[in-house]
Amino acid sequence: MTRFDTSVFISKFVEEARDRLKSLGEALLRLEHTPGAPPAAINAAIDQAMREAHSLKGSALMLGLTDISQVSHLLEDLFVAAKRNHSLITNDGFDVVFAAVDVLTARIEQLARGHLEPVEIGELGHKLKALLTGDDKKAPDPIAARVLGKDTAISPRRGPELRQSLRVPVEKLDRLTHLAPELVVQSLKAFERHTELRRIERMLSRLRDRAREARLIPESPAVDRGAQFAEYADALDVLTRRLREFLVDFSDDRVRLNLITEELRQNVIELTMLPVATVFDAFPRAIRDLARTFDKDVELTLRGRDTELDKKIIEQISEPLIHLIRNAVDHGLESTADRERLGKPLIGQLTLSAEQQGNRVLITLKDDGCGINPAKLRESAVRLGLASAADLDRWPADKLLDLIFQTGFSTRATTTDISGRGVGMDVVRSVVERLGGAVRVHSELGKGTTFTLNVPLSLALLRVVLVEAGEELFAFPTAAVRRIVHLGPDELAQLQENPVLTVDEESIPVAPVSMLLRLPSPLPGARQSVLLAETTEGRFGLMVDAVHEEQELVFKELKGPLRNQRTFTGAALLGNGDIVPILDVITLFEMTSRAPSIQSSPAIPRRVAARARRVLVVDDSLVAGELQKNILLAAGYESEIAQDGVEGLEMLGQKPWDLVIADVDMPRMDGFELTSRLRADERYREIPVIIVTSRDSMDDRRRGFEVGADAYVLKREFDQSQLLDTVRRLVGRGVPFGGKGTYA
Amino acid sequence: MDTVEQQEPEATPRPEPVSYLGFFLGDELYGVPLDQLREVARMSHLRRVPGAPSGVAGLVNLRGEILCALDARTILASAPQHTSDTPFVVALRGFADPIGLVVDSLADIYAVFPDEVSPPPATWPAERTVCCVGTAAVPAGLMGLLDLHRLIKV
Repeated sequence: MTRFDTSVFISKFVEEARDRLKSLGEALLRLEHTPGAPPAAINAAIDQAMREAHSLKGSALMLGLTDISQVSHLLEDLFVAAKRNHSLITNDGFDVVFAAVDVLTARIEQLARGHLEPVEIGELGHKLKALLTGDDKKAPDPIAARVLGKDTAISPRRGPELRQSLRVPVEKLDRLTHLAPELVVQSLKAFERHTELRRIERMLSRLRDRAREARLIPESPAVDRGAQFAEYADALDVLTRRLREFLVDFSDDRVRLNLITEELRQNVIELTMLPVATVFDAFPRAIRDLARTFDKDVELTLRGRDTELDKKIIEQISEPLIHLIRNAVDHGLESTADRERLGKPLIGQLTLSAEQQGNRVLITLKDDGCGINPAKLRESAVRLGLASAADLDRWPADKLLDLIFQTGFSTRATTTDISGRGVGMDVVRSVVERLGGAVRVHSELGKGTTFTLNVPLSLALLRVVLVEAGEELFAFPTAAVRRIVHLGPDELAQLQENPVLTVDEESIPVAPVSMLLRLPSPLPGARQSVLLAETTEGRFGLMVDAVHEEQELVFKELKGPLRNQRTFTGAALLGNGDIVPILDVITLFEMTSRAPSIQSSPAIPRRVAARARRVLVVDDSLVAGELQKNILLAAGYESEIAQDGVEGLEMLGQKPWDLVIADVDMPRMDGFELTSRLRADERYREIPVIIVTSRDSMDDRRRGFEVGADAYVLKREFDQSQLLDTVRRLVGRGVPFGGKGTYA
Repeated sequence: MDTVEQQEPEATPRPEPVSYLGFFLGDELYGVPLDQLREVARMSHLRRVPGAPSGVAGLVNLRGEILCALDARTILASAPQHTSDTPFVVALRGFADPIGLVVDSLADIYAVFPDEVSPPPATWPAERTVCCVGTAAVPAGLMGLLDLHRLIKV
């Protein structure tokens, strides 16, 4: 018998059923929690439940999923009856109904994996029927009713493989659709530019040919060389103008294309983003079950359900969160009786919130329970032989709290069946760290505990700081970086004596990356920066030759024979096609901690006099000026700020400078004026000038070049890498490489 | 040729030849079976990986894919001659991870019949003998026939 292929419909049904079951669960929770609510509210909740059960039944019937339709049918009947008799479903009754929802949910997931064969629902059916007839007294052990939840009961025969699909909101697709014509426009423009460039090229070759011909004509009174040169000069004039116009147009195109590319990239990433509600919305139900299991009154508040996260992170974050929630209900929150005795509100409060901060999402679980007792932590640590009592007394509070993440650590002598604080906390941390995140815990005795999971917005992209060591670029995950310290000569000298930096009264071991990786050491006198990084093991500092910009890179694992090396977690491609290896934070920490002192290593030669390139930033905006100065310092340049053109000229006279970066709009003397003065002055003529401004009219750009600026950077399109690229192009790298530091 | 075969039907048919891409490391000639070859590209930029095993030359960007490039010269204990300024990367296929060999220059594609394969010369270093199934005489010289599965384990 030929049956029509239902697999396409099945995957649609799975999606629909997930939504319906979620909605059904929500209605049930409302119903259970509002015993004293007005009849209208109760009816509304029952109606919702009824609708969902009814629709589910209909769809399941159409696809021949008899087991699902049977259970939904029973549920629907039950809700119809419950509407007439509000007290039909009571405590244990709710357990049966919730169990039915669980069974359906489990069955839907089996379906999603391809199990099409109907499943036996006998026992659950009886219980639901008993409930319907008001004969629920003898309903035994309701929670154990998950008869269908066991995969082993399912026949191994699988249905056709279902297509993996992802639902994408239409507006996200719309944004992508709008970008396509923009790209077409840019492509047409590129064509136009190409044509123009060829025209210019043809004009140039004609000019060249004419000049060659002219050379062949022997000198004679009939030949007017002057007129010829005038003609060439005119032609060159036209060419120069056209080339300049071309450059302006081309630069506009580039900016536009940059914007489109960035938007496209962002949109594509967003396609794989899901709201945290996907995970969060399962928790009210989980809390309900947990509260009943542990006999506690709990109210859960969800915040930031719409916060979006990478689908892959969403899929993996659920388990650690469930673990934390279970712990909070079991150990964090006190029993109602205890809370009454302590004068706390009787219902324990759990708040689960998500919040986006830049490229990270913070997920916070807060309870107002008893908190984690430091005395008990110390006791357990001593019992487990992790540290001596005397040592532990000196430990700061957060270090002590961190103990709960250690494998095998528990404050209980015996662990309970479901959760003992400490069981699985190490797993929570490792899952979150594998996702490129971090877990922090804060606790106040008697007041409650807060766990914060800090995870990246997207897994595909890794936010890194690009650093330079041994004349090569490396990437270091930003998540681990706490601070960047730029070392002056004195500090550098001190570090050679004692490779330890003191930060916040903590001594932090520091090692140069070039030494750890056995790369060529920096040239004498080179400026050094230190990345202060934090791992679960402790803090450390990495000395690098220069800190470049921060970037989001597509992370790729290292494979093949490089799979087992531990120094790098992966590699990524930069915009220019270069490969940059990504340093492994933990491994570098270990290497740094056991690294021999810098002094004993030949990696850092003694400092001798030499100087880095000096850049004068002329900007009346304090923020803009400081920003540029810091970017330059981080990249190994020396930099100072002048408030306007007049001050700029004064400072230029005081010592030699290698580059000037000037704003346009400034009091007393603007950037154009300053540039033309520099060009007119014998002493400063050779110093390159970059104009950085928010003015982006064609006329301003033209004027910038006319007064003699070497580059024109728009504040609107201003990013670190662009500024640094331009600076590097004009004066070379910040740290004088290869002995080219001849300015000293 | 057809007529010849028809006249001698009882002669055992010669087994199919295996095609090899021949390449040079210095003046040594080696061959990679064609069916294990993905593509050959001029190597633009090799990114060294500090601390990598000695047989690994580094990482190569092959049209957006990061390929682990093996240093065939080191693995095969070849004579440390002047390395080519414009080396090639021979990207391999049939392995779990994207992998390739850095070679100096390309020779040609040679069909080698099984009965033309002779054992590696006794004078070869052990490292090289382990990585080769044998040798074959081709117009460009004596070609070492590489056993890539052995080679990438090094």
